[in-house]
Amino acid sequence: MSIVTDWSYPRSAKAFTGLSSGSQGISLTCINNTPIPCSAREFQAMGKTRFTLTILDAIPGWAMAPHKRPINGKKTSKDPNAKPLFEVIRDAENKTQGVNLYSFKKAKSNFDRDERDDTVQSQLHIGQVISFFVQSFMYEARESSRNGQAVQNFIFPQEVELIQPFSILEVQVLTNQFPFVLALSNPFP
Amino acid sequence: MISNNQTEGGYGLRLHRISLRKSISLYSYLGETLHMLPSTEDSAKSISEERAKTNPFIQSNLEVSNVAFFAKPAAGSYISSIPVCPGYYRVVGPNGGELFPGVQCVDVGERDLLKYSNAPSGEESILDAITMFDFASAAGSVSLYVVSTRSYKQVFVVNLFCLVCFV
Repeated sequence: MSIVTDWSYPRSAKAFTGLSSGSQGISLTCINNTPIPCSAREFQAMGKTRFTLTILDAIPGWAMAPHKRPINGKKTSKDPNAKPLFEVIRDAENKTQGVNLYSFKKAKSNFDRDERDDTVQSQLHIGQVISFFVQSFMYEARESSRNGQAVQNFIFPQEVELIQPFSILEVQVLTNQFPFVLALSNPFP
Repeated sequence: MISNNQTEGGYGLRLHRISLRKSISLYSYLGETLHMLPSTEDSAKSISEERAKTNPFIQSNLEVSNVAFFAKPAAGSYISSIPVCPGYYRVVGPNGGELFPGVQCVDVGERDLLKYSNAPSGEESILDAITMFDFASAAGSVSLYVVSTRSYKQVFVVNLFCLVCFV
């Protein structure tokens, strides 16, 4: 009799489910409630579709505001007044936990951020079901360069054609308030 | 470039990357965060509706109808050994009663039933999985992750698929 995969691991989730997120946005651990097409062929077979995810864990990213984009590869000094754009929120009784998403004021350049705007914020909680529409452009490779080498990045995993329902996923999301996420061709500015 | 998510429901969230975590399952979140999920369908809907109102900027991504909850069904719930449709088995409450408040039954996929009952795949194995579910249910040690997937194609008013966790 085979064993469920994670039974062979320590039963403390912290021991093996900790996300090592290097993302500016939020890393969500989710369970998908509907199938997710991972290739353009599957997407065409399913037609325009939407999938839903239930949030099981949420790790805030490291994005701060104000922030200036590195110029010519040289990091700019961190603003002493910089505040995180994502913060963990939890109640005292540990009944709910989530991430607070702050917006920021527009800077002169679309690649920079001005001060954090505390009046514009949203919250994502554990247990919340979120949905996304799948569109054809999401299957296009995004070119970027790392260490001088061209790298192709994809939104969906390439090792499977279709993610079956009720799989555990790590989902990195960004908010559309970020100016830089509008540049789809350059996800690593 | 104009964002595709700029709807009247807010600016929305943008997917950056999805990756599979094959080594873990729902079991990994027992005692961690699963208890934070709503325990009834009604509470899941009311919480989702409230959050959609209070988060207008990501409202387009917040689901209010096809919600999820995690709860123990009534002790003595059982699975019918005859599939309701190919690949799906029906979980019903004790003596044909309600499984959860307001929910008469849920449907569980064969693949998930085998996975969460620790049974190998095969025709005989599904009966073993159903028997294990019945034993665990009699002991009150079953929890279900239930997702509402309302569809006009379905005959049932509420058609629910679920995962089984033996706790």
